[in-house]
Amino acid sequence: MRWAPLEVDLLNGLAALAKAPGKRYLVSPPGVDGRVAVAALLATEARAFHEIELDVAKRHLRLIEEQLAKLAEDFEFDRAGRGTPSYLPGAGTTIERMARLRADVDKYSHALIALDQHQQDLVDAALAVFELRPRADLDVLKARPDEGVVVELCNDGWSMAGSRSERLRQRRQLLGLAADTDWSDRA
Amino acid sequence: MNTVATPALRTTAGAAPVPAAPEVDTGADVSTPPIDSVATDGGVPSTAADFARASADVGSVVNSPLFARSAEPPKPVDPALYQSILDEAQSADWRDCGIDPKRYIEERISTDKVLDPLRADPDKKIVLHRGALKLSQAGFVDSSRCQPMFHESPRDYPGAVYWQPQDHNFHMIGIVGEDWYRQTLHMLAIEGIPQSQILVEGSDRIDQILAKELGPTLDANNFDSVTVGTIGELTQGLERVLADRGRPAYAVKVFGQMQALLDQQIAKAKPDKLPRWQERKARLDQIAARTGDATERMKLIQADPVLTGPFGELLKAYRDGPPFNELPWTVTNLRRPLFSQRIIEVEGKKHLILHVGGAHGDLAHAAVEYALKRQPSITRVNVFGSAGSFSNDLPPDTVVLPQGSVASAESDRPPVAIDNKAVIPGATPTRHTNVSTLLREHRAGLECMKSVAETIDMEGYHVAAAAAEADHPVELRAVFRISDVATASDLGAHRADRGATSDYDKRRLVDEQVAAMFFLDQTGV
Repeated sequence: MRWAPLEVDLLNGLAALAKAPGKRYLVSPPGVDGRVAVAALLATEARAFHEIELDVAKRHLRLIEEQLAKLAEDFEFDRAGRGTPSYLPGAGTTIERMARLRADVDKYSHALIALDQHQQDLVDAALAVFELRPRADLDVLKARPDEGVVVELCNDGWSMAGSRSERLRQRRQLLGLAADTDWSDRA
Repeated sequence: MNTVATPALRTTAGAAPVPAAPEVDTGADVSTPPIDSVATDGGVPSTAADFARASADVGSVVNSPLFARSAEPPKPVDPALYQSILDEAQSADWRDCGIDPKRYIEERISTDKVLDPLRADPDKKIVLHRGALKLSQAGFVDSSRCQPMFHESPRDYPGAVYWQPQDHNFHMIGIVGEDWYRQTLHMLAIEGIPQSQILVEGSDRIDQILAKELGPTLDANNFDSVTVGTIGELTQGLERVLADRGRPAYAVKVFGQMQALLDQQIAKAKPDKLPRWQERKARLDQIAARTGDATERMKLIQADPVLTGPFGELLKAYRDGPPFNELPWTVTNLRRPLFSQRIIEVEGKKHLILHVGGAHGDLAHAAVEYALKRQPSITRVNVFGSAGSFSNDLPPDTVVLPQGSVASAESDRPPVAIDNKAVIPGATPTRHTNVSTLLREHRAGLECMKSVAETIDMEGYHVAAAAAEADHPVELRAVFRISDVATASDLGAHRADRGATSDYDKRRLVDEQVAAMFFLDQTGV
């Protein structure tokens, strides 16, 4: 049986694994017992994940906008005097990146709205196809030869970090941004 | 509108000479004199004594030897030229045209600070300092005492007006070249400024400017092509094409980074987390064994929720494509007062892009001619810019390729036969013409131009002419994108919703197609 340890974006991960062939088992993390507790964990993690992704996308977007403003050297005018910034090299790929980040902002914003409105339904749908098993069964399930997947939920991914600023710090490191980049929790 | 005369024909390499078109009577009775008779010859002081005297007259403190001030006092504007422009301005009918002349002028010369005071006091004059890019280069001006009167954000117009209290005159600098000069005269004529209030000082000195601004670039580099066009759009287009080309190789790199990340995590993982990292490594190895195509590998990783968590940032990096500093090109920017330049080196060839803005097309002629003479190994000349159309069937964002010959609405500019080698999928071939300023695009002018062409711009004619006049065969590639319909106020230059009519994706694609054709010899991107 295939083992699928999930740390981040648990709800979407479960939704993707719900299509796996064969039996589907779900093992909760240590200290989280029972369907209600697992549902609460999924809801909390999903919110934290989308909030922090949205936050990171917005901050990243702002950084790129500042970068882009520095890249504009002058204005280019069309025949009738309509001006567009004449960008220095680097702007082409930066603009594309900015467009993708804007799409990310939309995506995460909509996901948060969906969570607000349909949280219970989403969690129920994710859990519907999985059989919840105690943590003690994990190794046994992993060792089974039949087709299927055993999902282990882990509650130590970066989206589970204790505070927002800690999550941001971890994300900043992942993004390879300088430590002095202002990604404090003020924004 | 003056007549469209068709004297001698010029041809680009490979182009068959076009037969002279019949002369078109545009209804006006005064022709614009040839450029040579228009230019005033201010003369450059030839000796140190001349220079000192000219400088002392105006209390100058700074003067570049290149831009030595004129020793000759300002002269009245050429009466024949200005009278013809005045006649045209007075008879112009602008109804249903794409341009609103008043607004056009307001966006370039301050009505409150310059035009109204000129109209109010016939003793005040405006001195047009041809060839002076800076106030310190203008003859008979004390730059330390002049007060700026120029528009705060002029639209594609370099003319800057100063008020000099000593002589109670306005002084305009920045209008280098014939087109800017003529445009300025058209603006003054439309605003009803009489000939007696316009003086002209100095001469263009374009050759000297080119020697200073373009000469060193040509001495230091061997170019494959010279391009006149919008630097930013072309560079961004090429950047995107190169980024797209580099994507498969970048996928290989990112996959390697993923493998390295897992190895690193396995090496430092605590015992309770080690199995998770090993499982991820096993999954990645399975994907690697399943397909050798890095792009396919990325798709499989994206579909695996066990891998998307740790590889989230690397997957986003892959989605963004190769960063700018990893693209296989070098870009050098040379900011110059008149001819901003960008040198692009890609695939072992160097390309020179000259930024020549809208309403100063004749400078494009001077620059391309200079480059071709100075570096005969340049065999390709490109032009990419915006153009107006004379039909709603050629709306904004349409890409057009001039064919056959390029005419001009200016009587001293004969048609140029062209063999346009540009190829852009879906582009419309057109008959193309030239004009020195949009202020000639009134109803009579447009009727005249429509009889010989379907599209119009300012620099295309001059680039084609320079290519045709070269001493060696030169291939011309000319592409224009329609920015406005000159014959329609709802699609014209001053329409209210100009931004909304633009198709962003299409514009972006065209930039890429043109850049790939100009710099990578690649068509059909």
